[in-house]
Order: sequence, then C-alpha cells, then structure tokens
Amino acid sequence: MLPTNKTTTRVTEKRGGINTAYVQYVGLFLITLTVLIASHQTFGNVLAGANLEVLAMNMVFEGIMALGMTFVIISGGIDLSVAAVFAFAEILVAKLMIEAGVPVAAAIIITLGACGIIGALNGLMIVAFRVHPIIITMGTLLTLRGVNLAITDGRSISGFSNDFLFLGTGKILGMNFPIVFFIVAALVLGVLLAHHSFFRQVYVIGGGERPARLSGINVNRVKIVIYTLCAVLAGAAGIMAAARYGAAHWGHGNLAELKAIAAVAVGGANINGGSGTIGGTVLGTVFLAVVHNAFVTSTVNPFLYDVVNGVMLLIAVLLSRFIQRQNEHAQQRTRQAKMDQLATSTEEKSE
Amino acid sequence: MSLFHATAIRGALATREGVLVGVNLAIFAFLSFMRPDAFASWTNLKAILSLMTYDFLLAVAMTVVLIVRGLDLSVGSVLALASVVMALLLQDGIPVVGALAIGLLVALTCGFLNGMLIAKGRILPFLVTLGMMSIARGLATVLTTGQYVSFPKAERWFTQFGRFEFRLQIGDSFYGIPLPLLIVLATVSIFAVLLSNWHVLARLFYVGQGPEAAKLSGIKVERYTIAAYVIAALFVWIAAVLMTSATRIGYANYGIGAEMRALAAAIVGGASIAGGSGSILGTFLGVLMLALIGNGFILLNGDPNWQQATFGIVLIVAVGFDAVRTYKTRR
Amino acid sequence: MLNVRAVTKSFFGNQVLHGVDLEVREGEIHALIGENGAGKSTLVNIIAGIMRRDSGSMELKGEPVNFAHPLEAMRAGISMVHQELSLVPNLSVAENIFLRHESKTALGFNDWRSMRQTAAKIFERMGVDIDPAVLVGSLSVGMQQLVEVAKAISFDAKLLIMDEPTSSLSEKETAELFAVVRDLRAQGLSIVFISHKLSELFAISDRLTVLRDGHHIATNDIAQITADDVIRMMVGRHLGDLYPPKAAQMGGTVFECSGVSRFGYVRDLSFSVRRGEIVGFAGLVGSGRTEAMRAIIKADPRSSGSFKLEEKAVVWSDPGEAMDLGVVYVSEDRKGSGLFLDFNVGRNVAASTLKRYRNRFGLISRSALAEKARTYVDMMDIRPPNIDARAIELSGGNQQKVLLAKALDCRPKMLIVDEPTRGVDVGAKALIHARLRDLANSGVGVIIVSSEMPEVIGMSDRILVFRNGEIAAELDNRLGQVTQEMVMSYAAYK
Repeated sequence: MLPTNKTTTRVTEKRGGINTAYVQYVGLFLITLTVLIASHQTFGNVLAGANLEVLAMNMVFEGIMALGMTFVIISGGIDLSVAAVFAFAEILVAKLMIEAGVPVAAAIIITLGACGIIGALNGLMIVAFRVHPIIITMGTLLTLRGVNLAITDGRSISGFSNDFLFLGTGKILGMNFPIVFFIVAALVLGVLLAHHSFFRQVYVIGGGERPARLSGINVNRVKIVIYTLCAVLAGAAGIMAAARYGAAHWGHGNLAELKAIAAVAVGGANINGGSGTIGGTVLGTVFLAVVHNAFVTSTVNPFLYDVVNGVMLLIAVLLSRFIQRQNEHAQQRTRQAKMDQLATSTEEKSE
Repeated sequence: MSLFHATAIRGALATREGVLVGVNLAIFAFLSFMRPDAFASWTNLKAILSLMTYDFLLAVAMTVVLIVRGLDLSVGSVLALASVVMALLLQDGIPVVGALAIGLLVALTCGFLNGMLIAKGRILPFLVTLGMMSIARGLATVLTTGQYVSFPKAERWFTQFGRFEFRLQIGDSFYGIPLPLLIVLATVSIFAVLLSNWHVLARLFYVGQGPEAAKLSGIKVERYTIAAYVIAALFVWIAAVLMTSATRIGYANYGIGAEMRALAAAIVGGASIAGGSGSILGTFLGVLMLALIGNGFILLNGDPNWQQATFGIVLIVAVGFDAVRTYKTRR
Repeated sequence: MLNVRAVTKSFFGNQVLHGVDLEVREGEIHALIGENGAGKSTLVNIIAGIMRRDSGSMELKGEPVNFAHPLEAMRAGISMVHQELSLVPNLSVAENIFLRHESKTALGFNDWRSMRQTAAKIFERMGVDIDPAVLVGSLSVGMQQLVEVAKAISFDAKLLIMDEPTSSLSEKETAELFAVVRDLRAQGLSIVFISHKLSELFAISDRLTVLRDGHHIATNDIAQITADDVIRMMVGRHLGDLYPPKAAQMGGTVFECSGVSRFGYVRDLSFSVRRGEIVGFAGLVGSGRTEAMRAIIKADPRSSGSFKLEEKAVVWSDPGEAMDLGVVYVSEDRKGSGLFLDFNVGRNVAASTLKRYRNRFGLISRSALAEKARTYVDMMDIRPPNIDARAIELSGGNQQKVLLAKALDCRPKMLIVDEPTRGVDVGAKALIHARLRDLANSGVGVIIVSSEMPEVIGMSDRILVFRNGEIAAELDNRLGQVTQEMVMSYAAYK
C-alpha cells in the first residue's frame, strides 16, 4: 500500500466566510465615522481641533480602564471596582504629595503599587473563594468607595504642583498627556495581548477553565495578574485625572465601570469570555466618545447620554448573542447534513 | 418535624440566620453598653428602623431576583425614575391614585424588560440591569434636568402619610410608630410567608437551584424568571412611593448606590448569586445589621463616612465565610 | 514500545479497570474496542497522564513511567487526541498546535512565523493542506480533528492515542483522517485507536484489543478474526444480573408518537408503546436517543411530531404540559438536570407536584408533603431514610431513586427514563428495575433509554435500536431471546 496519496488527502481549507470580528470592527469604524461627519455637518465645529481635544478627553480615562477591563472580560471575568480604584488613586496621590509632601515620582509609584495590591487582592479572593467576580469586585467597590469618602471627609483635595499637573494638562506632540498615555498603553498592551505567550493564555482561560488547566495553564496565577493589571491601569487613569481636574474627589469616576464595560462590549469582545482585542476596545472607546460628543454639541438634552450609554451596552451584548446563535445554527446544519449523508450511505449498503 | 421546617432549623437557623441574630444581638448589646442613653432610646431606634425601610424594600427586591439566579443593579435608579414620574404627575395636578398607578406601570415595565432580556434574550443579568440602571437614571435626570420636583398641589393625605406616626402611650412615655414602617413590615411579612408557603412563589427557589432540572420538572422557567424581576420592581415601587411621600419631593438622585447596599444585605442574609437560596428573614437581619453598624458609627463619634467601607468589608467577610463553609462540606 | 500491566482504577468505590494489560508495538495501529463503560477511555486517560492509576505498571520503551500530568506524558512522547475537541476556536491553528510549547523570542513573545512554518511542516508530513494562520473556529469539524492530530504529534509523539476521532466526521473526512494515520504509521509512529465503528477498525488497524467490564478479553491480529468474533468478545456473558420477569400481559396502545424530527439530531421518529409494556431504546452514545426524548417532551425544540395518548391526539408546548397530560421524562444527568442538589429529599420529590400539597388556606401543607415523601423513602428504600437529607449528600443510587420518586409523584401514564441506573450500585439497580416493572404492570407505558446492553435486554419487552438519529431496528423480546450480538449488529455501523 502506498503510504501517502496526496491528491486524495489534500484538502485546502480557506473558507469563503469573512472573519466576523473584522466585519464588526469595520462596521463599528464606519458607524463612528458616520456619526462624526454627520454631527460635524449638522452642528459644525465638531472636527475642529479644540473640540476634538474635548471629545477625546471626555472618554480617555474610561478608555484606559477599558484596556484593563479587556483582559478581565476575555478571561471570562468582570471588574466592577475600577471606578473606586480610580478615585482612590486620585485621593492617595493627592494626599501623598500635598499632605505628606512626598515627591511627585515617589507618590505616583506608591499609588500605582497600592492599586496593584488592591487588584491582586481582587484576583486572590476570586480564585480562593471561588465566588463570582461580580460579588468580590463589588465588595471591593463598596469598601474602597467608603474609604475614599472617609479619608477625604467628602471634600476635594487640590493644590498640586505644576510638575504634577503636566500629567493631566501637559502636551506631547500637541496631544494631551492622558491621550498619549492611552495611545502608548493601547499599543503596548495590544502587542502583549496579541503576541505574548503569557497573555495569550487569557484567551484559553476564557474559552474554558477545564481545558485550560488540562493543557497545563496556571489559571490562578494568570487571573491574579490580570486583575492586578486592571487595577494598576485604573490607578494610572486616576492619577492623571487628578492632574487634569486639579483636584481629587471621592465622587470622581462614578459609573466609569459601566462605560469601560460598554467600550469593551461595543468593541466586539464576548462578555462571556474567550474573545476580544485591544483594537476593538479602542474602537469602542472612540465610538462612545464620538456619540457623547454628538450629544453634547447637539441641542439634544445632554442628560440623555446616560440613556444612550445603557442602550448601547444592551445593543452590543444583544448583537454578540445574535452572532453566537448564528454559529449554533450553522453547527446544527452541519450535523443534519452529516446525518443525511450517513443515512443515505447506509441505505445504499443494505441494498 | 415537618419537612421544610426541620431543614430550616437545622440547615439555616443553626447557621446563617442564627449567626445573624447573634451578630445583631452582639452589636445591639455592645452599643447599649457603650451608649446606654443615646442608643437604646426609642427616638434612636425609630430612626434606625425608619432609615432602613427603603433599604429593606430594595434588599427584598434583590433577594427575589437572587433566588432565581439573577441580579438587579437597577433597583436604585428605577426607584428614582418611579419617584420622579410620580412627582411630575402630581405636580401637574393628576390625582394621587392615577399618579401612583402610572408610577407602578413605569417600575413594572422596567422590571419586565429586565426579565425579558435575561430570560428570553439569554443575556447575563448583571449586564442587562447595569444597562437598565444607566437608562432609568438617565431618564429620571432628563425628565427633571436634575432638579427637585415638588408637588404642592397634591392631595394632602399623600404628603402626610409618609411621615405619619401612630402614637402609643405606655406608662408616661409616648412612642411614635411610623406608618411607612408598619406598611413595609406588613407587606413584606405577607410576602415572606407566601414566598415559602405558596406553591407558585416557592417554585422560584427551584428555578434558581437548577434551571434545567426545573424545566424538566415542568416549571415554566422563563416565565418565573421574568416574574421575579417584575416582583422586584413592585417592591422598588413601594419604596419609591414611601420615599416620595416622606420627602415630598421627587428627585433623580434617589437611591444612588442603593443597589450595592441591597446586594450586600441580601448576600449577608443568605442569598447566593448561584441562585436557589435566600430568605426574607435573613435579608431583614442583614439590613438590620448594616443599619446598626451605621448607627454605631454615629453614636460612638466614629466617622460616619466609614460606614460604606464597612458594608463592603462585611460583604467580603460573609462571602469568605461561605466559601470556607462550602469548602468544608463538599470535601 | 508501550507495555501496560495489570492496571486498576476505581472511582468512588466503583472499580472500572480490573488489572488490564495492553501492549502496543512500534509502528502499529492498535485498535481498542469495547462496549460503553468497558473502560477504554479510562485506560487511555491513564496512559496519557490525565488520570492516575491505582495500581499496576507502565513501561515506555522498557523504561517504567508514571505521569502526573498530561504535559509530562506529552514530553515523553505520548499524545492524545480527545473525543471532544479541546481546541480554542478563537485562536489560530498554529497557536492551538503549539499551546504551552510555543516558539518564543527572548522576551517571551510568540514567534508566529516560526510556529507557522513548523505547523506547515507538520501538515506537510501529514499530507494535508491547512493554513496555519486561520482561526480554528472557521474550520470544519473534520479539519479541526486533523489540527488535533497535528497538535498531538507536534510534541514529537512516539505514541498517538485517538479516542473516537471519527465520531463526528463524515465518511469523506474519515477517509482523509485514515490516510493521515496510515501515513504516520509509515513514519514509525504507534497509534492506539478507539472507535465503535467495527468497519473502520477492520479497515485501519493491525491488531485489536477487546475490553469488557474493565477486563482485558483478548488481543488479536486483525487478519485472524472476524467482525462477529469481535462482537461476541465485546458483549460476552454478564453474570449476576437478574431482571424482573417480562410483561405478563399488555393492554392497548397507551402512547403513540409519529414523525418526530429535530433538526440536526433526530430524523422522523415514530413508535408506539402499549399499556404495561417496557420498551427499550438501545444504541451507542451519541446516537440521538436522549435528544429524541427531550424533543418529544419539548424540552428542546422539534421541527415536527404528533402524539396520541390513550388513543386521543394530544399537544403540548413545554415539559410541564406534557407532564400534566401524563408524559413524564426522567433525565439521564441526575446531577446537572435531574435533582436540586442543595434541596432535601422532600423538596426534590415534590418539585413537579407542589400544587397538590395544599392545606385549606391554599398554602403548602408541610405535613401532607412530609407524609408523601416518607412513603417514597419507604417504597424506594432511600438511605438514609431521612426526608431532610440534602440530595447532594446521597449516594448515586439513592439520588437516582429520589429522581424516580419525583417522576412517580407525577402519576405518569407514559414514563420515559433515560439511563436509569448509570453509575449505580447493584442493590439500587435491582430495586429500580423492580419498581419500573411494577409500574408497567400497573398499566403504565415505560420507555427505558440505556447504553447498558444487558439492562435494555433484561428489562424490555421490545427493543428499538437507535442509530444516526433514527430507529435502525425493532426487536421483539417478550420471550427474552434477543441477544447482545443482535442489538450490537444494528447499533454499530457494520
């Protein structure tokens, strides 16, 4: 017998169907562009430099949080505590510099370290208690928000040095520092998530924890690392926000977790885990920023923005649910075709 | 010896609710000892009970959805929306009954939408209700542009009953018992009895304990899930009515952060995000515990701002406590 | 090259391997065959380091080995292709193949180019043409199976274990897979191949080992045996299984089902059951029996189907309505979709019938409920005889009894039980069988879906053999003359 007969086994598998993720990205990009141009045509000035800056600054902190949230959501988890960590970082860095007189750089490092510890605790409790991340991170949210309120007595802290204010208002290449940070962080994290073997494990965990453990992945360690990462990013956003607003306040960033989750979900990540990209999240963030801006510049009641935010979150998850259904149907069709084929082939044999 | 009863005693009271009663008594005793004059006075106790009325209603709502393996983060903002809608209608001179009915309709619609998206759309409860939280709060803000809504034209009885107190004379002293407190205790007690004794509501526990098993046992799982969110909305509406009546104002910022307190109280009270468990008594004890802790902070000249942090820690400790317990029994 | 000696394994006191031997030679395709539950999967899981053996020894090329982890086995050259695909659909083909042994640059970044090239080389060696850069989720099931094979041999495998790799492949895909497997053999790999499809085993393997009830029965060269020999060795004689007598008398038709189809699972199913009759649904795992039953009671959607209960046409739109009419289904998955694990026995038994236990206020009557639960505890001999025990605390057999009690409390006219005694001890098994026969004798129609051949034959008055989502044969068993060979010859793709 000839061992190989390549003509019979050579089956090229390059499917006609386009990758659904790319369709989503291109679609989202086009919709964003349409909203941007339409609002510019209607209200004017939208594409002016000053407005673009306002537009970007409106979502940049939520966008930074969304970057970390992407990792958490791909792994099949959720982090509701980001907004509280954000405010905590504002307050801590302010207190360190203004009340304790710690130099800027040291204050920032200590603050980021503290946020990292909070995130690590989140991850640790999630893997140790085996409770849903919602509950753990909500406990952290409550605790931390309470701490924020208590240590500031509800008042805001201000009086930053000019060096520090650069982190919020300074410009690099004509762009605000937080925006530069967002772009750099997105690039770095995007590359890591797409190409680094450690972070690739996040996708496997999100696809299913049992298979992940079977293929030798240390699920607990990876989870702790990504919750830490998520909290550090929220902390970084908080530090820059303090510099941006010139003040630290416990109420800052309220409901930011909703916007961060919405940005990730709109960006095409599966909220049940297993898929999503930094690129998608960036697109989702830009989309939310543009829509927000359209509301602000239009005469439409800007308070409607919250409503639109909620509706968009729901639409995004409904859409991903719909795609999931389509895949299930396709699987069933394959099954049926196989059954039909088997049935006819056994009939032929019995004849 | 009876079936549900004996389990309740052995399984729950001996552990969860028993522990909670103990913890509550300990806090009570501690505060009575530290501040005998201020704490144990009727005025103070009344204040604790009145303040926890709203949280209790929202926690009951949360308990009902937790039982069916759900979650409702929109309780606080639906409260605000219902309050704002009712206040605006009253301001325009709509009769109280009509305004309340429309408020009820608004709340139930929110609950129904939550339930539909979760049961039929198969979307995670926390996402659906997070979306609803934003939508309802946004609508309330849009309707009022963030302003207080007063309703001077409304019928007097509505603006009175939220603050009405029955005066009870025992010996020389008078005890005022707030009417809203009585209404809430009565409503919730009846509901608690029905929840564990009426076969229709008792099925909610089956739905949460094992949705697939419940379906194969002939329970209409989707319908019951939707019903749970609608029932939750009903309790939210009651809270909205009482709050609007007591403050004589409709306000879009009512109930901010209330969903967190409600969730913490329900989880501490024995409900689980995994579904199938939870009791109204446990939730009551959980709310009471949080209220006593809050009161303690004030009385002991502690910083009241630390309250919220304590709630979070209590929640995490309760969850950790459960984790250790399940770990022991399942091994 | 691989020598397994006297390996034993038990789960929760239930011994599934009783000292099994297996010897695999270099460069051979070794078929492993046996009924459901014969211990094939357990054996290969032990070889691949996924499970640990209780006792016995294993040698690889003369060296004793003992793997604690699948990665260890893979590094030693033993790789397994799992029955269910273990690939991550959102990752590329190359990345899946090299999961946890990626080619990395100094900083730990994946070297995609080198991984794609190596993957392409592996595919070339296998003689298939799959683009290593595409997402696994975009491939057909057959192609995914080939990626699994590529993943397995990417560890430089010397021994490849394939657990029912063809179960979800079409004939064309199977032929492609076989060409690859033969190719690998020609390159010196040894392959252990598990399949239910006898024709396939005869087409591809060099030698064949038969397992039955956790015992090694025989190992033969494929040229020296026939399919009939293999079937005889697989089924053997099960001693010690005593079943209640067959139906003494049967009444008219109690349940008639015609034209039930479920897209992708069940094709045009029609059958009827008579009063007092037990009908067995035999077939291999995955033949669509459970899916058919779930479609019948409408737990899952069906595209067509009509029913008659006691000669009257009936319709229902969910399991609850079917139950109210008297058609009751008992799930095969007692932990996942049968019982309410944290609830006590009483609450479990009353799950479907809560409405019935009401006092004069319309509320649940605890005393009536407790009394009823106690009746079932006695009747089913549930141990401990405590209606307050939580279901999760009971043994498998007692859980199964509670599940059956829950169904009986619905007062069924037509009872469908799916795998009624899977993983249950002998005593509970006998009791459940006796109760099912009692029920039939009281005039109820009973369907038993079971993958245990002796159970189907021992219990049923009539056997319907399921294959590929439809009934392949109907066998009259009132005189008990149906043999396992007969059933197997229809159930398998001969």
